[in-house]
Amino acid sequence: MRRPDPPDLLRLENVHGYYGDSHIIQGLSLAVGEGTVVSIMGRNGVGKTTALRCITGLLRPREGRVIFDGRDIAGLPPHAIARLGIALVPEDRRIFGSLTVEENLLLAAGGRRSAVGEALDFFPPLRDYLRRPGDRLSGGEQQMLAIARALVARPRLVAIDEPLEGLAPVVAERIQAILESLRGRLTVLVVEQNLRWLLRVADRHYVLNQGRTVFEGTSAELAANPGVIDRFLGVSV
Amino acid sequence: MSWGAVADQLVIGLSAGAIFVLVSLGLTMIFGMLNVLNFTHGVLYMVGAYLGYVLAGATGSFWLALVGAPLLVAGLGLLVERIGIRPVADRPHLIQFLATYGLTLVIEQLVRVVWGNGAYSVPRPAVFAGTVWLGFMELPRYRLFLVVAAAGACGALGWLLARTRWGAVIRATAEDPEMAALLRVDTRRVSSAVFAGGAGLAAFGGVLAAPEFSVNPSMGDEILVIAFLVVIVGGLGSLRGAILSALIIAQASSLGLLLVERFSDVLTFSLMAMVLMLRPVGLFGRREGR
Repeated sequence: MRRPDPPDLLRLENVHGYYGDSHIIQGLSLAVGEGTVVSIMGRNGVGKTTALRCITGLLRPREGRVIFDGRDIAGLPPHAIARLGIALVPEDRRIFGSLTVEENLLLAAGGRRSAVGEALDFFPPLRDYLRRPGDRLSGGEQQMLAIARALVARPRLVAIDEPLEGLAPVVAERIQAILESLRGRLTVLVVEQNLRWLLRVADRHYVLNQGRTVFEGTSAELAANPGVIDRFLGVSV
Repeated sequence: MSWGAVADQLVIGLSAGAIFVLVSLGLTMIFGMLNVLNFTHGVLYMVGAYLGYVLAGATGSFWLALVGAPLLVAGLGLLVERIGIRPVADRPHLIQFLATYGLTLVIEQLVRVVWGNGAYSVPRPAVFAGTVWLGFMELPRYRLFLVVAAAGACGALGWLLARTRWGAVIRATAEDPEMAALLRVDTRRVSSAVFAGGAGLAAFGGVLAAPEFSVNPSMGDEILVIAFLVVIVGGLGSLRGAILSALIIAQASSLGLLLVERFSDVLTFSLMAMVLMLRPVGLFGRREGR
């Protein structure tokens, strides 16, 4: 028997997002169930990152609703949204280069050292360079720190933008393992190009084209739909 | 020209440099943080000196004035940031110049209305009357105090920025405000606090300068030109750059008086123009203003 769907923690309803006059997100609707892993896919420039910016408050949607935990958060400033429990691991990681690894984590933890300690238990390699400035980390180390920094504040939902981009295969595997260990512990919304990996780890998928959803479904449904994969993702499984 | 005269000028340069440092640090921090060219910085320094004069007169204590005036001006800074800076924060620098310069004129005229166009003097605290013998020259005690106070303020600021959680929040917000906001930092409040802190530092400089120079309505304009020169030569947003360039500029101007007398300013500005030709982003600058 199929388990009932978990209640939605996050829901986008007909969201429109613009950069200046460019209409990037054109009526996007999606739902992320509590405790699930949901992916957003699509070719470059279809609005995946912009969707995450609308959710986290970096871009104010011109139309539509962003419902988080039953409350419309569209238009709230980013720090207020973050305080409600949404964290973002941005595409380019955006580690503070002038802050040490420890300072990056402490800042994210709101100064609570105990929370930083727990995060380090989860990411033991970070212990080795606590005093190193953020701009002297490798790409993989920065990605690990970016994920740790998002988790240290114990968010309810973490949005992750292209976590594997630009990483060497061995490093990418480590990041994949870390992300997979989050499954079931918190709600994850992930933007990635690695279809094979997403099919394995995500519960639901949204495929975007020109700022709209063109496919929505489970991994089995997406895998059974090579037309969508070929046309909107441009890869073969 | 005797060595005694050179030593005297060096000391004068050092004490003037101490004031330049205090004013410039606030200005460069505000630029680094808010990306705003704050033309009200000079009048905040001036208002600090006036409030210092008033508080010292009313309470009879220079020390109360030295603490109280910067706090009051920090509060004024919050108001200035709210009405003069925030509405133009995302506009081009020319618009910011017009808005903050307009506010400068308003504040300066208000000061003239309240205190008139004349100059006031603030007596030195009795402890700092007289001189100390350094073994090779007499050093006025108050000038020594100026240098120590400025060095203390620099040290405290450095400690705050490098060692405290507040400092980490400020550095993170200056580096990437969007990312800081994503980590639950209310960046607008951080910017306001930095602006108020910068205003307080300028006022601290104003109160310190009051017994050494006179308190008058145009003192803000004079220091503003110097502070912008210091900040640009030091590198916009760089604290170390501001400290170093404030000291160099003060010495160039002070020793210049000895060498070329009334052409001292020409010497100073030429020297600084040369620095900028060789290093357009300033001594410690990493980026040019937008």
